[in-house]
Amino acid sequence: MGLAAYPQELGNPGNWLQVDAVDRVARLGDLMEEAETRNVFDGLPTGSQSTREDCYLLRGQVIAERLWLLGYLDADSKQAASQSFKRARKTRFIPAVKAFQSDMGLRVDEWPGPITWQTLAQLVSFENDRLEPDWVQNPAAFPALLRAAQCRLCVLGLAANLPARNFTQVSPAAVTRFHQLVFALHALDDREAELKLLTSGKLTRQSLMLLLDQDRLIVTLSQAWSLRKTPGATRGQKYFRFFYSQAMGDLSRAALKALVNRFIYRITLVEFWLLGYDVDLGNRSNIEFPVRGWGTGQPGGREDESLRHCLEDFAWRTGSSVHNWRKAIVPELFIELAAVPDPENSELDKALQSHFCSEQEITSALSDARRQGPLRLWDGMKRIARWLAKIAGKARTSLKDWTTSLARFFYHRSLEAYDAVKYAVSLVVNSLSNLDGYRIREPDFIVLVNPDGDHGVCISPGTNNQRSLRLVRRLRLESARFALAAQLVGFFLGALTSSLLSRWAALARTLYDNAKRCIELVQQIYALEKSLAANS
Amino acid sequence: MSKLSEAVGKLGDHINDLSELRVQTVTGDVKAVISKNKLSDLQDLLKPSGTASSSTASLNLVLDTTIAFDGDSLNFIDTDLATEEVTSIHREALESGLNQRKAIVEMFKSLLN
Repeated sequence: MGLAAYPQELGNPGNWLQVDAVDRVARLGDLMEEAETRNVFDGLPTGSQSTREDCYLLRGQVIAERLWLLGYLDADSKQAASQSFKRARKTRFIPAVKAFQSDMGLRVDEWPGPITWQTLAQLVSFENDRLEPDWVQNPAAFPALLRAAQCRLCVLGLAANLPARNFTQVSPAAVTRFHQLVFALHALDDREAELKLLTSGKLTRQSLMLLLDQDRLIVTLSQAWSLRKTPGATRGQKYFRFFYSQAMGDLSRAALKALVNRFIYRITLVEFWLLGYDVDLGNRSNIEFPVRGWGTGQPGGREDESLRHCLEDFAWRTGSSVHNWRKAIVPELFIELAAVPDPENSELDKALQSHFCSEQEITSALSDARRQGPLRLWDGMKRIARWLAKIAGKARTSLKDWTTSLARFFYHRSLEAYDAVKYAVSLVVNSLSNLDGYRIREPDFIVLVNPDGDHGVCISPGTNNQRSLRLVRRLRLESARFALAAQLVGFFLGALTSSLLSRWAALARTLYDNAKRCIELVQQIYALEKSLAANS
Repeated sequence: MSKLSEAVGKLGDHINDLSELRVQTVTGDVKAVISKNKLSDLQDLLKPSGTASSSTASLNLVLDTTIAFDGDSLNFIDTDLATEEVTSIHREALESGLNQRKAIVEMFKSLLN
C-alpha cells in the first residue's frame, strides 16, 4: 500500500524552515482556539450510540468536578455525575448547571453545551486567564466568577473553605489577606494602586485578574527577591523580600512574613500540581514548608515531605543544586519556572536555523538536553519551546505559552488524554462508516463516496450547475473538518506517545508536521465557510 | 483486545485501497444511478468510449482523475462535455477526496508510529 512512503512527504525536516513552519507552530494555538470557538471540531459525525454516551460521560465528569469546585454541586451529586451521565440528570446536576448559567448571564437551557463548557473552563482552570472584560468590570453581576475567586483563595491557603452551595460573597478576610500580599510582593508594579487595595474590602478588577492568573503570580514571585548581605547569608544566594506598610492595620510585620511564607508554599504546590507531580492541593492548615532564610510560616507545623521530593526531583532534572533546593523554597525556583526565551539575535537565529536542518541534528541537540536531566515532558518541551522560540523571533511568546500549556496538559492529564484519544479514534472510525455511499442525493445531482476517498459525481443534463457547485463545496468543507479532526487525533496520539517514550525528536517532528497540516486545514475551512456564506 | 486495537481493526475493515484516489464525473440520467448504493456500481453504468448510450450504459464519462500515492496523476477529459462549471464541480470533489484520504492516512500514520 506504500504507507511507509507517506512520512517522507511530510516528515522531511529540510522542508520545515522553507515553509516557515516555526511561525505556523506559533500561530497554531490562536487558530485552534478560534476554530474551537467556532465549533469547527464539532463537525465530526458520530455513528455509534455507545461512543456518543462515552463522550458525554467524559465531558459530564469534567463539568461535574468544576461545578463542585464552584459549590454548585455537592460531593454525592458529583460522584453520581462521574458514574453515569443519565443518572446525573436525576440528581442536582441539572439544577446546578441551570444555576451556573443563570449566574454567568448565559441562556438557561439546562444543557451544558459549548458556551457553558467554555465559561466553566475559563473560571476553573489554572491554565486559562482569558477572563471576559465584562466579568472583571462588574464581578458582582457574575456570582460564579466570585465563586471562582473564593475557590482560588481557598487553594492558595487564604480562605478556609471552597464556596458553599449558599455562597453569597467572597470571604472578606481572605480578600484582605490577598490584597496585603499584593502590596507586600509589589505584584501590580503600581504602588498607588497597591496602597488603595489595602483599604478596599472587595476584589477589584486588577486584583481579581491577578488572583486568577497563576502565571502572573509566578512571575511576581520570580521578581520578589534580593541579595542579602547579612552575616550568615551565602554569597550570591537570593532571598525573598516583601514590603510592609502601616496601612495594613493590625497585621504585624512578623504576621505578614508568615502570610507571605504560606502563600509562597501554596503557589509552589499549585505549580507542581500543574507540572504533574503528586501533591495535595487540599487546604491542610497544619502543613508548611520552609522558605529560604525564613523557616516555616507556622512554627510547629509539619513539613510537607511530598513537596520536598518534588523540589529534589525538579532541582535534579533542571540541573540545579539539589542540596540547596530540597531544604527550602528558593527564589531561583520561580526564576526557573518563569524563564522566558533569550532576546532575539539575528546571528543566533541563523546559527540555530542551520542547526535544525536535519532530523539527526535535532535528535543530537535534544539528546544533549536529555543528558542534562530535563523533566520527562515538561522540561523537554520547555527546551524545545525555547529553541523554537529563538528561531521564531517575534512569535516566541505565544509559542512558549502554547507549548507550555500543551506540556502541562500532557504531563498532568496523560492518562485522561490517552482515554480521550481512544474515544476520538473510535469517533473517527465510526465516522468512516458514514462515508460510504451517497453524500449528495438530489434529483439531478448525485455524489457517491467510498471510505477510501474515491468520489463519483453524476450530473443530469440541464441541471443548475451553480447549485451543484455549492453542494459539492459543502461536501469539501465537511471533508476538511473530518480531516482536521483526524489530524488532531493523530497529533495528540503522536505527541502523547513520543512524550511518554521520551522521544523528543519525534515530539518536535510531531509538532511541526501536525501544526503545518492543521493550519492549512483550518485556513481551508475558513475559506470554504466564507465562500459558502458569500454565495448563499 | 483494547479499545484502541479494536478501533484500528475497524479502521482497516473500512479501507480497501489507499494506493490511489479516483474521482470520476459523469453526465447523464441520474435516475440510473439512484438505484445504486456503492460507488463501484457506477462503473457498470459507464458506456464504453465512443459507443452510443443504451439502457445499461447511460452515462458519459466527462472527467476522470486518478492520483497515485507517489503523487503521479492521470487525467481524462472529454473536452466536448467538460464545461467550466462541470470542471469546477469535479475539482471540488477531488479536493474533498484528497481531504478524506489524507484524514485516513493520518490516522494510520499516527496509529502505526
